[in-house]
Order: sequence, then structure tokens, then C-alpha cells
Amino acid sequence: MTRDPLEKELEALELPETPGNIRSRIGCAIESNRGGISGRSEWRNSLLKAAAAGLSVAASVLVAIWVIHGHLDRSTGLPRPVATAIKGDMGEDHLNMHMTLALYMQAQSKTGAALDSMLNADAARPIGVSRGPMLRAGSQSLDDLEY
Amino acid sequence: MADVDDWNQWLDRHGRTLMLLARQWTANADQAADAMQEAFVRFWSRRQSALDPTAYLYACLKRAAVDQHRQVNRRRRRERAVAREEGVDHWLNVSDAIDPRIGEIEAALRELPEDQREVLTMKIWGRLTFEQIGTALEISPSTAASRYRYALEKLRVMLGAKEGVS
Repeated sequence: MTRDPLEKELEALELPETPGNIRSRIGCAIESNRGGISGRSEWRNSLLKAAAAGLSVAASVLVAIWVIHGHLDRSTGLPRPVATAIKGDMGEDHLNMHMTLALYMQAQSKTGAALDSMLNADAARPIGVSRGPMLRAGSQSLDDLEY
Repeated sequence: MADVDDWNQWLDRHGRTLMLLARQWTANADQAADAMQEAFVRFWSRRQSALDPTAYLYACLKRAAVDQHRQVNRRRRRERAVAREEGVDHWLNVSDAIDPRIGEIEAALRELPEDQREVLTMKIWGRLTFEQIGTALEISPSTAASRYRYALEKLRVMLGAKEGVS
């Protein structure tokens, strides 16, 4: 491809040399800037180290708190789920027991009649006597309470 | 001291073109020198994060020159007019030239629109690709190429060099 003569002519022109004072000004500015960058990077490194140390201490404190107060489930204050102990066979005693899901399922797994029997017995039980654990545990019934 | 050698090499390679551009973009040689220094220091401190350091160097100069322009906008116009009238602050080596053709070329360059002249300068004397010119000036490479062609055509007309078209 033939080059454009005008392009060749322009390229052949010699541009003025970069003045020496500009070169020295640039050199000084780069040197001083380098010093500034070096100082800034030292300062930044110190800041990063301090931040890392702070984070380590905070993490240690959090771990210590966690170990002392137990894991998160306890810290919520909610009661932990406890498996209900089920006695071997469900006889007449079940009438004196609380209706629990386990009992319900146990009765359901036997026969429909057993389940109906348990539900009927539970429904027929006086409320104050056998349903509320606080009342059942004590000697009072709802009728005994004074208002 | 390898860094010092490196920035000297960059300056050796691009300093003349940068200075020519700085003179085009600013009002006088002092402002050009200020823009040049600011641009080169900015370039040197951030060059490693640039995708194309050469294009970034020219972009730094453009930005520095624009900053200068904002700072001394009113004074710039006045001083540029004076500079043109007095014929000082030559862009090319006119004073040493025996051939008057060089003076004609410089005069023609000054008559070009700025957006065409900057592309022509980067292409001819900076040896930048249109891609690099586009990056430096934040225009597309095709726009850069188009401006370059327009600039050459205008120069050709002004210099009476129509016979040079190949």
C-alpha cells in the first residue's frame, strides 16, 4: 500500500525537543510523588494491621461469649424441644395423661376405636383437674380458686 | 533506579508529541509545561492499572490540559491571540528551518479544527493507532480515523498538495 506523500512529509518533520526544564520538573515531581506514595502506603499498612488486630480481639470475645452462654438456641430464651417419653403400652392410664401428639399417634397406629376412646376420654375430663399441668400438679381446681 | 530510566524512556518516546499537543490545548508554553508535568506524574503513578499505558498517557495530558483550560479560560484566549499575533511559541522547529515549507505546514496545522488536529498529531507524530487515539480522546476508533482523513484533506488543500493523493 502506497503511503500518502503528505503523511510522509509530516512524519519527516522534526518536533522540538522536550525542554530540559520540563524534564527536570517531571523528574522532581515523580520523585516527590514516589515519596508521598511510600509514606501513604506505610500509613495504610499500619492501619490495616490495627484493623486486623481489632477484628481478632472482637472475634475472640465473641467466641468466649458463645462458649460461656451456650449456643444460639439457648440464647433465644425459647424452650428447647424435648422428646416425650412414651410408656410401653397405652392402657387405661392414658386417661390420666396429657394429650400429647405422641399419645395421639400411638392410639392412631393401633385402631380407630382406641383413638376414639382416647379422644372421648380426654374430652370428657374436667378442664381444671387434669389438663392444666399447674393445676394438676397442685391441689387446687378452678373451683377452689378465690377471685 | 530502573524506574527513573523508564520514565525517561517514556519521555524520550512521547515527550515531543505530548509537548506539541499540550501547546495546542493550552494558551502558552508555561501552561503547556504545567499540563505536561501534571499529566506525566499522574500517568506515572497509575500506569500499571491502565489497559493501554500509551493511550492512558495521552488521556492524562488531555485531562490536564482541560483542567488548565478551566482554570485560565479567559486569560487563555487573550494570551493565545497575543501569541499568534507575535508569532512566538512555535509548534514545529520553524526557527531552525531553512525550508519555508515547514512554516506553511505549521500555519496550516493551526488552521485545522482542534478535534482534527489532535487526532492528526497523535497519529503522525505519536504513532498511535486509531484504537489508542479513541481511548485517549474518548471517541470511537472510526471517529478518530474519520477525523484523521478530514484533517489530511484540509491540510492537502491548504498546502496545495492535491497532487499527493495516491
